[in-house]
Amino acid sequence: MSMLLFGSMTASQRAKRALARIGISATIKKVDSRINNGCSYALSFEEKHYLNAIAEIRRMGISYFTGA
Amino acid sequence: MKKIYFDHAATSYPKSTSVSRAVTKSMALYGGNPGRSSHALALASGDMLFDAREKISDFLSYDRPDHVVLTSGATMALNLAIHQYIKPFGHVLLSNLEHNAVFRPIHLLCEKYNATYSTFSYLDASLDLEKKLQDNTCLVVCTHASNLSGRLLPISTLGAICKSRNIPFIIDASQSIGHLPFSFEETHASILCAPFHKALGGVMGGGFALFREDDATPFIAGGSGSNSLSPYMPKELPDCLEAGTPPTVAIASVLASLEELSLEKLVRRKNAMLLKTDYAIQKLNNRSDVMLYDAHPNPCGIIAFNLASVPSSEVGNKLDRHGICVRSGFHCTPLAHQTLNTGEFGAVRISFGEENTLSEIDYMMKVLDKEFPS
Repeated sequence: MSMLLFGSMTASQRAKRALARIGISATIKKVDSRINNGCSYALSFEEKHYLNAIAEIRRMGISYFTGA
Repeated sequence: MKKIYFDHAATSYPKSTSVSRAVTKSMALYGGNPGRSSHALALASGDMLFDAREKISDFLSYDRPDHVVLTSGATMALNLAIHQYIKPFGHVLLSNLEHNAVFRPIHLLCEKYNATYSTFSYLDASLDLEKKLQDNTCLVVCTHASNLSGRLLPISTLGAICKSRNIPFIIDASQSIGHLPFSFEETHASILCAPFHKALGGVMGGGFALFREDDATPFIAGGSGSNSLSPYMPKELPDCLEAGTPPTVAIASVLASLEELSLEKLVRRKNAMLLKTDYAIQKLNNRSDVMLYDAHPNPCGIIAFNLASVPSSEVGNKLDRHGICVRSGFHCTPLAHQTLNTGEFGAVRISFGEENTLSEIDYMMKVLDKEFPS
């Protein structure tokens, strides 16, 4: 699985719905912000979608960190 | 006794069946605190919140759901919006029809920051606005529609003037949203604020502020569900302005209401309101002792009047005895009462909703004729 990190729930939800629009299913989980660049939300999806997912999230202008 | 509800400008009533159902269902479906946990109930609540943000931004044709800040109502939305822009020794312009939800926070913050404020007239609003702008004007705030008279202000023109001068522009859309279609883009507003419980059809306890820019300053601080160890509020919208647990029930209610509010329905609603206000004004004008205040057919369904020498509260109380609900007094808008010169007793306000009929207006006129022969 690939994981992207977001500072807010809304940002992770925007990203999740953006990915859904291009056929990528993703799951939101809360994570420990101390060990995740201050991010509290992680979006997980299948690794094979990684490049498409990153491209779409960037296109939407949503800030993210890459998971550890 | 059958109730005739003519107080829709205060809050719409009754709520639709789907809204009532959504409120009941939200107790079971959205029992988790959104954004606070990873369990299914919390995630479901979080999803519902995002659905509401999407619906609200779609409704105003602005594709930034993350710029929809959910609040406890229009008053909170306006307070946090006004707070963004008042600067020490600055100057604020507001229309002379503003509600206390605009007037009081401006007065409070201007005292705090040694700033000043003045009003521009709703008549020739754009000319008067331009005339009254000062070098230190840091904010213009304007209602889209007066809660006393239903008068619509030319927000797009006013917004364009502010935009051309790089002055932030805040709109209070409390009385217009849900009554007529408009887009956020066309208003040129920096922030637009509105409640859920009026013409949007939701229940009391919620509202929103829609932001144009990405940046905002926290207004209140508290738990946000993210980065909990930091002493600071998050920097991103909407989290930076949403401290504390959100009003999930009210949010679920407006989501249900917006799902059935199409453009066609809005246009129908607007035309019906024009008809009802036109009819009521004609009927009221048949009495020789009626004083109307800026009365005109309007899509917000609002008319203010007095009967000569009768305090508005007495008219309101007598109508109530016949099951007719209206509002009397000053309607939290001393500026508008002063502008429209309603006098020492305020005014009676009737405000229509979708379900009101012309025969209900006839009945109100009969009661007025019986209780207060002219």
